[in-house]
Amino acid sequence: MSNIPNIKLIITENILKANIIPLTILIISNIIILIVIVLLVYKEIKKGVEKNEKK
Amino acid sequence: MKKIKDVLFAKNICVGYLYFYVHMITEILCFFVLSRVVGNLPFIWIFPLIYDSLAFMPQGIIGAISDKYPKIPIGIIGTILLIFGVISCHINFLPGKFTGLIILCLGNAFLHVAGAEVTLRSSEGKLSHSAIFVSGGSFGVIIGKILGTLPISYWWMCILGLTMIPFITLGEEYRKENEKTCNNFNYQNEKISPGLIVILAVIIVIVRGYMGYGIPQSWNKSLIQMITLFCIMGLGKALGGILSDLIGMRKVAVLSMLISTPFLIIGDNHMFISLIGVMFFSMTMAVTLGLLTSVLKRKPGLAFGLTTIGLFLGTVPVFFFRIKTGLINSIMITLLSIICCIISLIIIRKEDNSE
Repeated sequence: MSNIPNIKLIITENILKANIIPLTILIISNIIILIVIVLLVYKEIKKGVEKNEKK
Repeated sequence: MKKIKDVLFAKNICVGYLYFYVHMITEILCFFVLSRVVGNLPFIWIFPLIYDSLAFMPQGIIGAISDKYPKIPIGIIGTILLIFGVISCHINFLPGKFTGLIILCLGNAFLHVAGAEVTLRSSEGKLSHSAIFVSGGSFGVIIGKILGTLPISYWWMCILGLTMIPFITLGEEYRKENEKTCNNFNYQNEKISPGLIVILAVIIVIVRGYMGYGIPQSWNKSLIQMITLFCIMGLGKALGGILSDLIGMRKVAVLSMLISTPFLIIGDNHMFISLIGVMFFSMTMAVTLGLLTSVLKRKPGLAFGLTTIGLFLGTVPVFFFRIKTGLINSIMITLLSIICCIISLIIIRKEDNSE
């Protein structure tokens, strides 16, 4: 272990201290938003490509 | 000289200044409340995470709605939500500990999208407008933080919030006049698929978001130094757009991603050297926003939302992991900067709008 002392990643004890319910709601809602955004961007790009092909 | 004059007095540039004010006031209100709320509660670390999540993540959705239904007055809705959020955080008349904060964050998100929509649509493919709008945030954050520590009533903040309404109303007029002008954004390399450009541009935003927290700044100890830092950040964001219009986006990408790095690392203990690095570093925003708008021409609100989502995703790890060793941190910053610079040189077209 002493060979890798430089990277000191601190997985904070904050996770343990936090109230897990709001954190879970937060994470789930963010994942949903992320999925919706990815779909919206995909749809928009597809539309753009189709438009270019028509031209 | 003529080129500088053309950029500084470009058509509709006043929209950038209108929303510079709106953005600044928005952040003042948010950080005023945040510093008051955080000061009283035990789980201090989680509040910035909740704030970032609620203020940054919904901007993509709000942006997409605003793109589809341009008649919705999102700026005015944002102002109402923001002021309602400030009042509810003050009086606590709503159920739940976080309700006021959630409303405040949503107001913030609406106002950001309103600013992006108006400035991007009115700029005719230029980046100065949106960069000037974005730069207002840095000034607002530091002013809000300072005001939060002073004995100022929440009601004064509400009055300050109301002063945004004439600016937003005027901005909306510009948007009506320039509903479909994002077609002038052509910064992307057309040989690369648009999907890949979006992914790579968002990766740059994520990396830069993470790096923003990793910049070594041992010199930053006093209030004056912190004020200077935030002002330079704001200046850098505005300069990113102005310089992109002047000398081209590719050059600004190199300036912001590569030249900033040595200044940031060497400037750990030297304020002025570090500030030069911070200024260059802050210029990236204009580059990524310009790229995403070029791909999503018909959806500038969604494009702006993508940058804020990237920024949030970049900052999330900071709340859980932190690299404490200076040398490793410096190596990581350098490597990430080089990678981002290479990516941006690939995805930005050679002759961009300014040339």
